[in-house]
Amino acid sequence: MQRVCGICPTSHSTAFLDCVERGMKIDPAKKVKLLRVIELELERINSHMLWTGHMANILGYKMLFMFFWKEREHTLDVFEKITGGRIHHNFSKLRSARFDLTKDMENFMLRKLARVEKKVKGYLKTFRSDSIMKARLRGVGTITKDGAERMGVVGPVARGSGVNIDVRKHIPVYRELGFEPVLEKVGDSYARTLVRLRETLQSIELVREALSEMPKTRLPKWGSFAGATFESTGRSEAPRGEDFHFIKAENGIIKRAKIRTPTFSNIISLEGMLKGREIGDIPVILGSLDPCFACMERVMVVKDGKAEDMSEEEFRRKYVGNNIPSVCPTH
Amino acid sequence: MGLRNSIKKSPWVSYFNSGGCNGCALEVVALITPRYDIERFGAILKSSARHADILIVSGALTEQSRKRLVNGYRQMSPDKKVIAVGICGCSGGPFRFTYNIKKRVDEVIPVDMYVPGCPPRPEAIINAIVKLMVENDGSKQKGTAARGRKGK
Ligand code: SF4
Repeated sequence: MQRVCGICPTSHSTAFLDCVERGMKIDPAKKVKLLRVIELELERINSHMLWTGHMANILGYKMLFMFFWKEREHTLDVFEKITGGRIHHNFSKLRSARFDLTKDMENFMLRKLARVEKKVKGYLKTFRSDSIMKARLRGVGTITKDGAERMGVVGPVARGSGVNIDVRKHIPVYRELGFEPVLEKVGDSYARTLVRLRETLQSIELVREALSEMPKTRLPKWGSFAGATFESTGRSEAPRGEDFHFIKAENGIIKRAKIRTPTFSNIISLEGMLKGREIGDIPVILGSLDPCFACMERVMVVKDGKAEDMSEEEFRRKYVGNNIPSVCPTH
Repeated sequence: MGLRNSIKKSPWVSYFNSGGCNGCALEVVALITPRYDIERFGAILKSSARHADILIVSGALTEQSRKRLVNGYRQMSPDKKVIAVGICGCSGGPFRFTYNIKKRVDEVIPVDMYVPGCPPRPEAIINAIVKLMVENDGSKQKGTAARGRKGK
């Protein structure tokens, strides 16, 4: 499930596991939940820093772009230390995690996070005080609270407009850590930038708290997917917003899977944001949505104002041809 | 020809994602950031394939991107090299038997260097670039490598 995306692999695997665990009626131990929190938040730090660097690049600050990507390497170091992979971590398992954190890893993590926190605080100050940044970002691509609610945008785009929406606030373990969504009111590109930077700091804090609350028990055994039959949904808060999975499984084989990614719901608001702006603002506005283009490629065939309904066989015949082996030859 | 010299001293690198998960893309972009910094070797990342001597291809080559890859490859300078990055680029990886993947990258364009890994570390990609540079630089190598590769 990690190979869905290289920027938010853990969000997808967490949503998938949420889905499967709900379907199989498994409730993982608190320790496992906290480990997942740590993974998710580290990923958020990583993704937000990557994005802010990219945004700085769009605004013409090549240097700031390099600074952000340099600091981002430290979070990748943490990933490498605790999971062995820089980009794909494969850390979560059904009902459990692959391994426990050692004291050494915890110290390493805290040391690196302290460094990142110090730097991000400095950059946040830059974003708050720099007049050119404000001139390029303020009032650009505004979406009001009403508009955001109507369009159904999610993630930092919605929170930048003051809509209090976040999957994490519905998850008990986050509530125990005292999680409150970061909100800004104005709804322009500047507000979205600030939301992401502030979320980075908040995530660092959440990781620290999760580490301090971590029970000193051993990890439970991994569960098995064999023979499971269910139909269920799961979700998690990816760095770009709500990530939603639907899985239908029969006898341990996944028959159908559907992933609704956050950019898909965010990109709809682009049209309203672009109205009346100059051409030069397009990269800024598009960039401020943090779009993932692969996530927007969804197809719905509409005929005479009605969505076309088709069965699996029909779909195969029409769009795929008969060359998909139903079982992967290597298995 | 003069073009051969550019690969030996300062190759310009272009990147093409033919339908991977973005993980390799991130590691390729990480090449230009301070920690890895391929500009030490005179290489820079260029967005247009026309300016590039080396093409880095990642991803499993979806049907949609196949034509575009060939198109971009044809527009490059005559003496060009291709690096396939990631197991997707090398063999199709986890996406190999899915419905929209019919061919591998090396069945469509000639590949000179494979960098396996999911994703490979930036050091591995740098290693591939430097190896291509050394291979093309007859003056620095004695023995077998000095003969260099025959142009395609
Ligand atoms: S090799 Fe791995 S990281 Fe690279 S594109 Fe393929 S799945 Fe993603």
